[in-house]
Amino acid sequence: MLKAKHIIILFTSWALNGNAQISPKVKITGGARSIINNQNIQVNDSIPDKTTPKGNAGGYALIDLGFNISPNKNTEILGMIRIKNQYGGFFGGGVTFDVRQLWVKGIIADAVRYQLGDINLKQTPFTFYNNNEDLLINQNPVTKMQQEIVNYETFYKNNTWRQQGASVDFGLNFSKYLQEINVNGYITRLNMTNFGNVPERLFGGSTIDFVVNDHLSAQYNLSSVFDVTGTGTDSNSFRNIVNTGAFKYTNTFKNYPIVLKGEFGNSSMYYTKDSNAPMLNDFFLNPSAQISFPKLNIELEVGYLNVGPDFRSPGAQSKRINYNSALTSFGLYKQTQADRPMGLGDIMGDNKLYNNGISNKIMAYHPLINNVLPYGLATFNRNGIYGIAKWSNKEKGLSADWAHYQLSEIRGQGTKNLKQYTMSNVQLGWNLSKVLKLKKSLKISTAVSYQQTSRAGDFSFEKVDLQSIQSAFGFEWEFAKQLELVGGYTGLQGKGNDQVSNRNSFTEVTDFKDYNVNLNESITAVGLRFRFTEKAYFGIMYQSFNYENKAQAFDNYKINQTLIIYNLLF
Amino acid sequence: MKRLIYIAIALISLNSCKREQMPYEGPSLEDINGTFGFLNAYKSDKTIIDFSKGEVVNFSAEFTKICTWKIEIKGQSSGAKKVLEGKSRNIGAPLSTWNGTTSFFPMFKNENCVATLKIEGVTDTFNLNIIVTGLKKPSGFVVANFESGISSKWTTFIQNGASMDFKVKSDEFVVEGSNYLNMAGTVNWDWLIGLIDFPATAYGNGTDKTFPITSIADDVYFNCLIYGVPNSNPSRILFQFKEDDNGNGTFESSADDEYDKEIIVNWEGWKLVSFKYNSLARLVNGTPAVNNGNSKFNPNSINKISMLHLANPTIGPGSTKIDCLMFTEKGPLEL
Repeated sequence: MLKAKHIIILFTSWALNGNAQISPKVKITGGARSIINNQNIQVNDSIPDKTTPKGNAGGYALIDLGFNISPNKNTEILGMIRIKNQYGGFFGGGVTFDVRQLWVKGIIADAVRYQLGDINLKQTPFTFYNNNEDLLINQNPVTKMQQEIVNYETFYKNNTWRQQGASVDFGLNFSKYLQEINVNGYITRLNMTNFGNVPERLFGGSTIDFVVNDHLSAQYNLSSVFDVTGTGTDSNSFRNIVNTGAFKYTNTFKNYPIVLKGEFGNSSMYYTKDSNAPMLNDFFLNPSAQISFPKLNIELEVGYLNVGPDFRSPGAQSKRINYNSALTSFGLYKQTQADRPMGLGDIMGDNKLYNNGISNKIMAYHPLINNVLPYGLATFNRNGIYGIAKWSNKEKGLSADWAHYQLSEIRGQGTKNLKQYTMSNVQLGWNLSKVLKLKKSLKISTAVSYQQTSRAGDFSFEKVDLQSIQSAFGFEWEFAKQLELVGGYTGLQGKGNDQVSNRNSFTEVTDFKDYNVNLNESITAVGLRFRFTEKAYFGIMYQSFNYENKAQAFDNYKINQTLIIYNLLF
Repeated sequence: MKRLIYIAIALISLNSCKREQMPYEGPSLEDINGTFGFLNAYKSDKTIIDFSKGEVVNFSAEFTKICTWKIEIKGQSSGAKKVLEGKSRNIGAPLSTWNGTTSFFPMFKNENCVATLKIEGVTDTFNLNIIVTGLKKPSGFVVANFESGISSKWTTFIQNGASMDFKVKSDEFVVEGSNYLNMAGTVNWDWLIGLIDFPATAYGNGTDKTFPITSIADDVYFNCLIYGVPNSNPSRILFQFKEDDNGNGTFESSADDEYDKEIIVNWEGWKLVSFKYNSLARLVNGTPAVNNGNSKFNPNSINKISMLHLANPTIGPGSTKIDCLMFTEKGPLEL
């Protein structure tokens, strides 16, 4: 512990000295946060509970101290250290030191950009993409603050995945046939070998972007998960290769801007020497057309989606939330010390539930939260159409988004009858200060997502009918200079039945589990937030999360939480 | 030129659009949810079985739907139990084959057994009688089964504690064969209660300095039966596998590797414990440490095996029983 402290002190003093002497070469970046948390749980149980605690209080303070060093004009290095202290751990006890980020990037010969170490990577929604399909709608401001902390902790930014490895990109300009070609390649490590039965597993890919002219561009994408042969005792190696092509054509139609775009491709997943393992090959298609009406501030898009049942793309189908994770707060509840079911309150604020890596298995999903596209556009076994509309009025401070998906399965699950899926999302935002001509900000927002899954059948055991609604309402009112009253509601209601597929390690369906539900979850929250700057605030929040399972009343619980948050990014 | 490129792209795209045609994924819902009944009755291909000759019993049945089934074979005299289970429309080999092994100890005797078929969601159970006339013989290299007591070629060290009972016994706790080793006592000054060293020279004609097992560490398993005594002071059994890497005929900690396995006996009754040789690590006071030999698993160089019975000296007596210390290859011991 002392050694780590000394290293940081030396590093800090060296960096600060460097900063003082040659200031353009060293920048300090990072963040600081302190949270004080007080929670209590109320459980509806027939037996008096004397085995599990009903409350917890605690918190922490942390600082992320990053040194962004430019030793020369073509190189940039970032090293970020985290010092975290749990409240109650004074005088060094409970203090942890971690390296949070480490990367080097630069330019070789003024032509090739490279980055080594921690990298944020993204390709297309079918190859490598960090979907956020468990939070379909905008959240109320209190839960949004918690989500921002989760995103910071997990490095979720612009749908990228944080990986460790290397990436390069460069571009070529042409005078004939093509305007330019841009090439990007990356290689990352998913898991290291144990020099036994676990081989080295890597994830690599590339994107080649062909810009034909100002209107047309085309793209080739490759993403591949593969075991490095010879790095383990088992010569059997996993492979999952995704190849896609994409195009984008922009022009005007009767003076209205239009965009025609699409992506299509295939995947192949197999083991090199395991005769019991299947080889899964499949393809997808996703063309769409978009038209804008600038005078009306309206954008419309229609698209077609066809993703095969055997399409496997670990980079695009890995989920943020690991629904098999243990809960941080009140993981066991009731006299029987049962596992507490995960609810919206956990999903909004517990960053331990969130996944940092790419999984080559099919991850579990929550049928009420997203049964229609649980793995984003890359969700396998889906076929159908969708429409998206956006409207905004800057003068009145109004915005509205709508999206509708009408999909079905391509291949039945245990029956030839196919499930039909409907999803409609509506989001509205209104900056009332513009209409009411207030000097200070007053914003309200509301959002609803409706989902339905149905399947007809000759037998009652074939029939499926599951409906769910996610809703959110929020307000932010700056009633004094920099001081805001914030609050809102987030709800999840669902009722009906479905059959969830159990899959083996090769992702094949082996069985079905009945899913019967009548659930009502809600979060009501209110708080005060003082904004020092756009990147720094202090807030006091109160939140009440209610989990009501009408099918099994003894599962019900309610968690009340008071949070004091100080958050700063610099 | 441009057209050719477009045509090539279109052809490649069309060629990639292949999808395996199958009516549905997974088992048929009708198979899972239909009405239960037998299409073929529950039966076994033998009613008298001699496992010592390598014989096996195959159970079979066919249902009208996919069922979660379990066959519990119980020895009427020993109380031994073997469980076979699966989820299928047909009961058949290999899931429903009994080769004389045991799931819950003690082991089977030459006795009458009842094989009961239970089906999830069905209240009726279905019985078959099987008569065992010969027992399965454990196969592998026997380090110790205590059938002839404690060999004089082994080295023992037993502390001079209270109520020490480090003896071979043949009472109602016998699990395999006729004997087992009891290891019990109170030693309130040391974790060690007692130990036995099994040198390679105690086997065969006494001239081999290493145990006669394969050099492929990934294939080698060490197995033993351990009895957990209900006790607030759980016993720990530490196995030390001492290799002779430099081939000088003896183990030297400064020049050879030692691989260790500590087993905390926190269960009640007999349990078969098996572990792969290459899953071991050198332990010093329970903590992984660096070896001084070639740092490679060389099971064919094991010169001596030490078995230590340990217990926390501050808590009270430690007590356990052990039997059937064996090396097997290609898989763990089946009893």
